[in-house]
Amino acid sequence: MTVSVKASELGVQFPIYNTPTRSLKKTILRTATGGRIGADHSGRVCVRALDQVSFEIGEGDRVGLVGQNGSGKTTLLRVLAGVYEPTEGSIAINGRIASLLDISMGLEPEATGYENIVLRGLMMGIKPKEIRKKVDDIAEFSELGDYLGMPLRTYSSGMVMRLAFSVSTNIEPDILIMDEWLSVGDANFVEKAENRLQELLKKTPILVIASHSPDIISKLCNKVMKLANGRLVAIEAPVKKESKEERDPLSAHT
Amino acid sequence: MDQVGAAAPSKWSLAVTDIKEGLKAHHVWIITGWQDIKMRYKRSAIGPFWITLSLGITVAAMGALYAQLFHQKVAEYIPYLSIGMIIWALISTLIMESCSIFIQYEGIIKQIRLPFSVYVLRMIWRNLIIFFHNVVVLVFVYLWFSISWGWQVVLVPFGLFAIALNAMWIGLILGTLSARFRDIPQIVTSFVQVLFFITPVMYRASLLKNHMWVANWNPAFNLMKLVMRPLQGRLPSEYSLVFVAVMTVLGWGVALAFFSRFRARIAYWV
Repeated sequence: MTVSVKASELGVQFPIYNTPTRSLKKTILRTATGGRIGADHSGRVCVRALDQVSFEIGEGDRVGLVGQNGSGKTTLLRVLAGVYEPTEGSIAINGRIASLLDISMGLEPEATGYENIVLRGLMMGIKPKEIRKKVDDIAEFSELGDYLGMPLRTYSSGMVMRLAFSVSTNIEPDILIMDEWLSVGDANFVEKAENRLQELLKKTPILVIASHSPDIISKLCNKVMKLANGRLVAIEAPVKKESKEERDPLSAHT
Repeated sequence: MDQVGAAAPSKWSLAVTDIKEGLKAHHVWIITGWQDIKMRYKRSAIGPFWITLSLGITVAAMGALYAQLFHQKVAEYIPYLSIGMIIWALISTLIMESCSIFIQYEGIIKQIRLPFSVYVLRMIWRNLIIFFHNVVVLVFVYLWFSISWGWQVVLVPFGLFAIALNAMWIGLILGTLSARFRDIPQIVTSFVQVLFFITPVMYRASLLKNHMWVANWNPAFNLMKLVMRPLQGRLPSEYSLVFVAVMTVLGWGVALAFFSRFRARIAYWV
């Protein structure tokens, strides 16, 4: 089975229920960023976050999503993750998807590190048996040692990120979805995390990443999709910067 | 092939798939449901047995007082009240928590695709666990008044299954509605309070005399009786069985139609 994603004339329209229609209408003209605000046939205020978006992604594609805030990048990632079912058009996805949108999702402050590994694993669709096999691996990678038996609320924010990162990257997806490049922890851990992500990328047929950093995009991607006001305005090759200094853009970003 | 959108399978089959996949993902709701209970009583000395204890205190206090008010023998009234209270506690929390199942997990729903039925099943499972903690009160009451259990008690799981089956369609409807209209949880809370007074929990149905129809047409009471009667050493009445069967079929019919229509919208609403 080949891994692929095909979207045709994809549209996502959000109803906004608790905003006063009138005052919002006044601001429409002045909106510089974000999806277009309008009204649907029943007069409700709606934000059109994605509009007529069509594309095909195949194996080996490393897609960078670019565009200013509110251009629909995150919405598109969520459509790919299966969270939002498109209100118009269709999307066909072949392959297992893993999304690293918010890696600290679903963590319980009162639960221990180990319990959180299980909870998070379940959310990602891993069977308890497989989680048990992976626990040692995850524990070792996080370097949290005895802290894993303590409730999460006793962790520093850096430690929480370490745990979240260790669990959520212990995956073997066909399609990986990321919102910005992850960088977590202190200097030692950052390097380790980098390596883990690079390895993950190597064995993942498709990557879709949204980023504001041109460095990340040019380093990782072989295809750039540019979004503006919910429309796909361009699919192009990334601009390779011919920088004289051979600095690593990824670590520069951190 | 995972396809959504215009050329996708019908809304109806997507809804049915959601429920099937939810049932299949039993490890998810079984573990997270337990986790909910553990979290609620973390750092307290007796943990989830606070559930048992608080119900025990309620039953003891109310039992002593209302036995006087209703001119009943304490030895008869307290067992009746405890049975009623543990089942009422189950049914009322199932209805009230149905409202928050999707709102509560907004963070997860917006990040990861899980069958929506998983959240409903997690809520039902959590409340069944609480029910079994409450049953301990009944065991003590029966010991105290040296009442013996009838063989009919083996029918209790059947009654609980009927409750869970109905909680599922109620959860699908109320959870979805509440995600869209945030007034629903408040309305439901008031409604459940009124329901408590018209349901013979604190008093016996026979006290209704000429107004027996209030109990006979009460869906919650008919559902309760499927568990109450076996606990009292009696068989469920044919009337209750037929009533609940019809309610289950109708409820599921409405819920499936409703859920297939609005399932895809839940992620947008929460």
